[in-house]
Amino acid sequence: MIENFEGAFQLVADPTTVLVVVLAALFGLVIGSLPGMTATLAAALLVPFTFFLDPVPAIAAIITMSAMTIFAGDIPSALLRIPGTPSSAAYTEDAYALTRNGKGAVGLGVSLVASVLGGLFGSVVLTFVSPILGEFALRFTSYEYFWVAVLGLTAAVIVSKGAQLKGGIALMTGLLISTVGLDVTLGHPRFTFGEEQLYRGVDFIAAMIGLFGLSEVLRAVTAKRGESMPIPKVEGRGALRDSLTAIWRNKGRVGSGSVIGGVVGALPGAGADIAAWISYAFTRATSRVRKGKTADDSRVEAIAGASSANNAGIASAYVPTLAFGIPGDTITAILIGVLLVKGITPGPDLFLYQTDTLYAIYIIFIVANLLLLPLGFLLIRVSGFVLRIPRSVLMGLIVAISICGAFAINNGYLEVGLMVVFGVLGFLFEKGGIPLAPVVLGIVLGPIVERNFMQSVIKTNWDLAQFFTRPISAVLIVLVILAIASSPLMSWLGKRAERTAALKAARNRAINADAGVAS
Amino acid sequence: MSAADSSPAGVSIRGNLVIGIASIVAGAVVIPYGASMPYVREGIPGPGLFPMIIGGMLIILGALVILTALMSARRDRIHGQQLAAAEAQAPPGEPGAPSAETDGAATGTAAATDGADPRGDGPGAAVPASADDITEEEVVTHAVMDTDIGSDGARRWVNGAILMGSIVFYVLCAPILGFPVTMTVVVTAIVWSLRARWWAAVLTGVLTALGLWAMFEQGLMVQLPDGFIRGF
Repeated sequence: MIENFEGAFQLVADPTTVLVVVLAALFGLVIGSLPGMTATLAAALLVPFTFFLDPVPAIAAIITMSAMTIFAGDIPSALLRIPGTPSSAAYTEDAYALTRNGKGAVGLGVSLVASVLGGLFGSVVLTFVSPILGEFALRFTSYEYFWVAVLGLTAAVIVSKGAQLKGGIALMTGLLISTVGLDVTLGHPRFTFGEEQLYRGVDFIAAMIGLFGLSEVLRAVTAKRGESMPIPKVEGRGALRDSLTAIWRNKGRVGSGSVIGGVVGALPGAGADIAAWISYAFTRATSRVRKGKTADDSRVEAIAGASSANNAGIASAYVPTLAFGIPGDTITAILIGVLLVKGITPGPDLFLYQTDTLYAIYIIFIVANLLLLPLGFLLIRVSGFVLRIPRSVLMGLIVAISICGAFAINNGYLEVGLMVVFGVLGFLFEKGGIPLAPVVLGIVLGPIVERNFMQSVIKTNWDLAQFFTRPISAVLIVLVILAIASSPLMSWLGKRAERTAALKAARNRAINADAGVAS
Repeated sequence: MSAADSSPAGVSIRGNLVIGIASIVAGAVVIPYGASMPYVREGIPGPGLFPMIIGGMLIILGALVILTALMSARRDRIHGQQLAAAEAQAPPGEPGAPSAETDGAATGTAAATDGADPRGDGPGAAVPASADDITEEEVVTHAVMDTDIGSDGARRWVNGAILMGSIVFYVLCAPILGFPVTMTVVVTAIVWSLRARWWAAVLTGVLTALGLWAMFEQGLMVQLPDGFIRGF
């Protein structure tokens, strides 16, 4: 294990990698602190550049960027009451209240240090859990891979906020897109409409740039006129000491948050935002009322818990990604796309043949989280300036980078056209409340599901019972069924309870009123 | 630009019906296309099988979306009537704003069905405000954020058209005019359409084009279209 780390360390200490890490970190911090610009958008814009890098710097860029973006999302939460990324949504109200009370710098400082600690914990989880799962995955055959991919697909639908049916439609759209090109069994062209350039399939990166980059710009420029927002002043001086004291006081919260983040993040399909919500709810529910404890103290407590959870979730989301090659969220889906382009197959092979790369990934996670500490404090100090970057200029820049990125994939205009198509598709999906994440997972996992299904069927000559009778398959099937069944049931029960409660309240009022008249 | 815009809560029943129908139509187009390819030959599954399964799922899901949209509309209407009946018995001056509640039930399948927060612990779980909190009006501010790139009325769609048109313009003109000139025009047009001052728009356009040219041509060794400018 030690010699592996030595080899990996040399890969990471390479000057190009270091430069790439620093640039990706700055990029992530700026994008993350702008409201409406998500980590996925940042990843989609970054991918064309990683295209030209070696595997390790390319992975390093995406990992560093995502760790930075998740913290930077807390900045607009605290200053503007708008979460910069969905992961910050859980504690936006609390962070903003702290800023109003003049404690914005402490709130952000706590969230930064908690993020760093959570991220480090997540990295440790990743380092120790992924090899165990990887070893387990070595025993997988095409049946198990089929079910693992199906589990990844179902999980993607389940976490679709609001409407699972629409998540299903989004997923089918992604799967359908993944079938474009020459098929896996006979090399028969599908959905190419005679266009030979489409034989190699819809380029994943062009689709990403369109779905998350261009559609976001399209949505912003066609938005209704909003209000300009005042940016509250944040006093950065002396915040470090106060934040560290506050963290020390809430060390239990950071611990529990990290554990929740580490566990939840590793579930396929869940991710950093869900980890943050769960940890937030846990911290609030177990928060004790003590003498002399102000509302601000409870807020700091809640932020410490949730903020450590989302960064821990980022790292542990890589556990299923590395062990099975099944993405946990959209960013890991994009990373898988990049790895495949680089000729690295995520999954058990990584643990057998490419241990240097694997250990380099572990090291990058730790480096990225350590780097977050100084850069994060810098960002808190200059947050006012970052938020004042004019939106019009940014939109122009994003469009320019999107065009160049799409063009650079193949030096061709087909990818630019695809990007436009996917930009419009993403725009329409957003308008209709259809989530975009399942589309991505469908595009990535589609070929895996199809190939493993075909292989299994051909191998056994249509003995479909094999899909269900193998022991590991059976466990995975139970998981899939549980996942599918749990979610609609919960939301149905929730809705019913809500209606009954409203009705009961109204009836009670009526009864009380009658009683009042009678007496 | 806020997170609320992107939440599915704003989708009407009609919107859901459109989505359901579109999904069914897509499925109905895909299945015959899949069937036109060999899907099972001598017991071996072929390229047509997977698209046909996807098409079938699209039809089923589309039908379910329509069904749930109609059902939730009906449930909400009945619920709204019951609620209204109950409210009618309550005297008007009651605290708790009954009218707001009925409004919520009558207008919105939105809030109830699609649910802004499926995890059920929304902002309601936040730390309650206390007496010593500073109100929003008293906050010390030092700058104003320039978020305002949205517009009113038809201008929104003009801006959208400028955005899409400029990309089409790039695809058509980059091979002739070359990357630097085309990209300058594209970026300037987009930035200018979003109410930036003209010099800021031109400056952004020129700097972006030159910066990306340097980065991709020199740094990443990507051959961008030269057009009539050669010799770099």
